[in-house]
Amino acid sequence: MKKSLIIFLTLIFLFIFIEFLSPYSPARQKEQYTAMPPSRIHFWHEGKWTGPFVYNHKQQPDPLGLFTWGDQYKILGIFPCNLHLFGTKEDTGMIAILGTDAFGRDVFSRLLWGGRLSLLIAACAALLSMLLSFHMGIISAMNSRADKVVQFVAELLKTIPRILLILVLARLIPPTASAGHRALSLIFILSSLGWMYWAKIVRTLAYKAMEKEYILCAWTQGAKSRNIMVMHIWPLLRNYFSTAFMNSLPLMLISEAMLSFLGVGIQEPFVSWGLMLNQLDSASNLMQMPWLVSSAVALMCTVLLVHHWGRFLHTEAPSDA
Amino acid sequence: MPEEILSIRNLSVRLGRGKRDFVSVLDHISLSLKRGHILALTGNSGAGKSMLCHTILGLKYFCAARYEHTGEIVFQGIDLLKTSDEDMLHIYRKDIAFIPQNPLMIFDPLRTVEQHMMQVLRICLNLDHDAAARRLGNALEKAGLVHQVYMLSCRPSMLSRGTLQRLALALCLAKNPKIIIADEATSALDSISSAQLLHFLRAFCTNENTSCLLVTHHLGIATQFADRIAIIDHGNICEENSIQEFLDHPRHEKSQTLLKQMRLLYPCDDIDIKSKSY
Repeated sequence: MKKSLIIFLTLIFLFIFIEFLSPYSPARQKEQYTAMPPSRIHFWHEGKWTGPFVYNHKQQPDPLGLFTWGDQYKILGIFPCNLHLFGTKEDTGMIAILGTDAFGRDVFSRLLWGGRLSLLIAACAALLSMLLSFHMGIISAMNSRADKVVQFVAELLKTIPRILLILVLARLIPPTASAGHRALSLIFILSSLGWMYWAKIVRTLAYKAMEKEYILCAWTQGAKSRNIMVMHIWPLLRNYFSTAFMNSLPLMLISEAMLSFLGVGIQEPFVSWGLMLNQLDSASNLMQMPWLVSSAVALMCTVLLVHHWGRFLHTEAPSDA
Repeated sequence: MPEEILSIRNLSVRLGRGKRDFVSVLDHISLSLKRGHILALTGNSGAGKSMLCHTILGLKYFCAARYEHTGEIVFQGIDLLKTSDEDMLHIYRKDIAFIPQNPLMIFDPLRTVEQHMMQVLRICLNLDHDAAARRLGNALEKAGLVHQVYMLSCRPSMLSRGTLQRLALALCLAKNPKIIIADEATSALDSISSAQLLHFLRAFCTNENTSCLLVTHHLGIATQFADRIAIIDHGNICEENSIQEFLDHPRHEKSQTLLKQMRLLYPCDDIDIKSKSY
């Protein structure tokens, strides 16, 4: 649990200070530096030690520094600040450790910003869909009339191809919607189409739990169905919740990336990993700017990490069920 | 003459296995329980004692098989077999307390005994934390468990069955119900603790005017602590009588056999009704 807590706190820290860690704002375009490969950092200029620097577009050395002033941003959307962890001391140069895209935007900064938005949307959608599926599962195990309705809706949603339904629903978001609204609607779409699979499993587990003698006896001790749900069934299913969450998080990440890649998810000027892949729509682009694949690599690594962490949680969790 | 609080009229229960294959487990049972009285229910294993308790409490919670019942169980003018779940909830919370044969049945294995008991009291009686704690403390003190406070922070799996039975009884008495259904409530206790608890139960019933259906195998317990006794055999009530009558002139063949066997098993168990000291 300690390890998980450390990972979680690190993630929170990263989420708050991502603007500080990235050298540029993700929308900042530098015309002189379009499609630039990852910058090389030099130390000697004409045989003389000058400290770390990059060459700018005029082949002049541009010294690098820690804690430099750059693009304006707001921490947590409140406190304005323009301090960055690293960057060039003059604004004429550019340090792009993962290169720049076709519009001269820093891929590394975009990767960080996009990762935050992608993860935030995926985590919220996974959490919401898990809450939905656990509620639906337990309710349908406890009430046969609700069971019929819930199972009918679930079956209905399952018969329609998921990707198609998501695409159609995402198209319904008005193009004028602000970024926040867009992200929120994406969360709702992804979660409302992801709960059915887990609801079925939770329903079975809850059925099994309800056959336990002490839960049956709890009715005759004066427990309401809500009491039984919260006090007896939920503790038995708690371990499945983290496993289920960790399993659905990668699915949500990939779904969001797919939507943004197809142009119906997150849109400019905001960034997400799927949106960054959007520029790689042809083979020639891929040949010219292979560093743009970095967002796909980041997505892959995150998915693998989440799976690994999920497995860790599953084996470490105390199993009283 | 104390008024009747629970009366069972003509109750039959049949359990189903196949589509038409029903087995009769309780057959035209009529019993009545008066306020402040203890009715002992005895009979050999499989006679239908627990089935009767479960039918009073609601078969749907205890019976996995298909079942059908006829007749009525009237509690304070309400037929328990026909009430809605909503009304049943109030009855469960305020009026009926159940001590099962296996005390693990009522304790949640994931919570400590104290958490569970507090939760039951708080929900059933709508008490706040302090009031529930006070009430629980009183009940534990009465049940002779006050010096074993450490066991409250244990989970049920860490405690012995006998201890759990005592805790279950304490919990049930803390609820201060109108009827206690004790399904072999002292089966896992030694005879001394068992006698202690039953004395306590007897005193409680007399003082608080609570009725009790005391299911037991032990005829000695039945004759010593109950006011009336009912013998059940193969789903039928063979005899329902006052204790004195039963001991002096057992009417049914089954009662005579039971008495004879008890005297064989416990030759020194001289049952003296007049020395009841409560």
